[in-house]
Amino acid sequence: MKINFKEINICLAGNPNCGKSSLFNNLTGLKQHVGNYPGVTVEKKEGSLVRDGYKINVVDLPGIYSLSASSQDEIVARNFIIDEKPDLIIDVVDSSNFERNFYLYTQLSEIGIPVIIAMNMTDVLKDKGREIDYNLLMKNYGIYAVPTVANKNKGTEEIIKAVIDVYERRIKIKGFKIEYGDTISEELKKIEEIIYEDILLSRKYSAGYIAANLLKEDKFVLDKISKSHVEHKLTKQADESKKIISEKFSDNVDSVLADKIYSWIHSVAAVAVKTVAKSKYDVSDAIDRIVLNKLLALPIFALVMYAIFKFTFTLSEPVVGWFEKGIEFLSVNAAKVIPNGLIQSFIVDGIIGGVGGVLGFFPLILFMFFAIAFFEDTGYMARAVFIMDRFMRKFGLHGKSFASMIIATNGCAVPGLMAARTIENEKDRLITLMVTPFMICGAKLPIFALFIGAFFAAKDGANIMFIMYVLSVGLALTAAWILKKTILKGEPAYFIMELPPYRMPSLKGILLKMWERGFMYLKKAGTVILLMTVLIWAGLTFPQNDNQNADISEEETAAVQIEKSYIGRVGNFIEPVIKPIGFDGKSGIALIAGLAAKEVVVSTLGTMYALGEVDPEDAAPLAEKLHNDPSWSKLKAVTFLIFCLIYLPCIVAVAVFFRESGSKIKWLAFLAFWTTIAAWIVSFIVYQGGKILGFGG
Amino acid sequence: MSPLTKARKDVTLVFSAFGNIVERERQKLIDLGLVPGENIKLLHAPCNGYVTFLLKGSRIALDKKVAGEIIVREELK
Repeated sequence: MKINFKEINICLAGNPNCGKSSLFNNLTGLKQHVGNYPGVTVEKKEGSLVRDGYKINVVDLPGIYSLSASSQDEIVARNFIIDEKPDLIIDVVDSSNFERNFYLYTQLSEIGIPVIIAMNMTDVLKDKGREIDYNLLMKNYGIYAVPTVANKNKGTEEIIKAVIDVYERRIKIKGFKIEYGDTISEELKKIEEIIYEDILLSRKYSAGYIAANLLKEDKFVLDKISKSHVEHKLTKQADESKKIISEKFSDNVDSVLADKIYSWIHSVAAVAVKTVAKSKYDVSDAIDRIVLNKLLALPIFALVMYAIFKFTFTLSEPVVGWFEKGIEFLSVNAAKVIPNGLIQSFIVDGIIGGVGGVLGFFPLILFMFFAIAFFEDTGYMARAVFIMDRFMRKFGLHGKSFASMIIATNGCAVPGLMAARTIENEKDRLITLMVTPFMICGAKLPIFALFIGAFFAAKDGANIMFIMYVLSVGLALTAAWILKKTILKGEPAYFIMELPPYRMPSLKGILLKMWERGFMYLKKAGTVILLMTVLIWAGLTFPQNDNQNADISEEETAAVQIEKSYIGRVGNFIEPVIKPIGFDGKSGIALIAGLAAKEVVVSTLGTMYALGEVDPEDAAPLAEKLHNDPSWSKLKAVTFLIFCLIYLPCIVAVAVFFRESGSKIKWLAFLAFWTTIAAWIVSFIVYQGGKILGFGG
Repeated sequence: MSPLTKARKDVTLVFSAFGNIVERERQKLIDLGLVPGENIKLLHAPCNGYVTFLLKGSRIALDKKVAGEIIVREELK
């Protein structure tokens, strides 16, 4: 039986870092990424819920301070609200910062769509010794607000009920009128009267919103009226009104309007927000005095990053060992159970050797995500962006570029690339897109862990990884500096950023984040990596070498099979190009396969080494096989890792780069060219330089 | 009156006007609540080219170039 639901389309709007995504997750049951720093959501996310015969479609929008959007993420939010016209807007307000958050509310209320306030973080407001009189807000100002604590899933049911009640007009939101004073009100009225002369325009957009934004010379609104037959009349009136207001108040019109709005908000807050107890001491300033200290800031940041790697490598080491033993056990027993032949090779060498090699690093990934999630939820990551801004500027970048890099390190290059949307300056954004893939993302982590484990002592693992991390940042900065001095010249944009208050993260929240990101890794292992592993196995197994030579050993027969296979031939073909940087055909194949997903570098090596094995029952961990392979050396391993840092990102990241850089082929071609050439040159210098300096060959 | 970069740390400041500032930066600061007459408090005195200050209960971080275009005066006692 088909049930006909009434559909209600709502969107969640609000300032950055006010808890929109937490509320979205509570409403829809989805698991959007949340974090204690601005700019976590950079594109709209959709979900829905069904309740009491209603299907409520919810859109979570990127954070905005006002409808005057400047960066890509803000434009997405503004355009959705104005053009898509949802039935209702939920304005998520950080109640502990009532006045600043209310500024957006006054603008949203102007556009003619009912607005319900989700008065969020009321627990923080309580800690500040204050409370809000919701009845007074409704009675005196027609403001409908519902208290919520989104990160503790409090108030969600009340929000759903409020949405249905307002939609069905059981609750009427009267709305309010800001007291602009006679001069401004008269000028706004003059403009509104002209807007009403164009029926289509006035039906599509609220006259109040158009009038106020014409006074502010908002380009978006100027574009909206550009097709109207009253355009000329409107702009002429707006110019006259601006002149009158500026002369009367001796200031810019947007400053005057903002001043009037904030004065009104202040008057509302004065009666609606009551102090009922003494405020708890806020530790944020005390912590900032240390972590933002001019001498201590950078060393503390370096220490935090080092602590993350130390925590990850030290604590995960035994667990990774257990996983490796488990995979080894599986491999040996599968070889015992499955008769010798192609099927055994496919299962043992292909699937277990390839995917198993990647899964072995799953605990390491979880430990890394746990550590990063902890710092992310405290609010320190926003400070890291601020601290790094001055450093980034020396290389022509913006602090927000570093946010992209952190996000890339924090799991995947794709959200890192998308986070660049928060950068207002187009050239800065493009440079950020070009250098973010250099970071050690979650997919590259297994490659680094594998080679560090194979060629360095376990006690040095965290130190080597930290050096590699510093190197990745150094490479990204150098690349940015080159781009800024050559093809993307220009001054870096201004730095204005809100620093969130410090919060004590909850263990549940961190574990959830860790699992969500870790699950993505598992999902990838079961899909892309598995598929690539099957293809690599087939490419290495066929055509079968029928010319068995009794004079050569079984090891040599296996090596000949790999060399004569389809993939082996590709390896031989590319070997002359990569030989000067110390790589053989096998490494070349792993690197090419890694373009599908970086973990595939590990799974490909796993399959190749498993196929090269004579006795499957002697399956040793891949790291051990690499260590014992005379064609590898410490210098070659380091060169390989450096090549992996720089060369072309995986196909999904490339596709996202293409979209985010404006879908221009020239930038895509440039990325491919520049990363490949740079990877080869830097690897050549490291390998040949290392050889000259006597670090082996 | 002086730019925020030259203001004292332990006093309440009143925002007076913007200096020579780009429209986009000015708009961003207005959106954050920086309007004439607003009280602000310097949290970190200008160091290494950066300033943090308290505005409407929020901690705002700025580079020195922008901070130099925010004209403030000390609140009269």
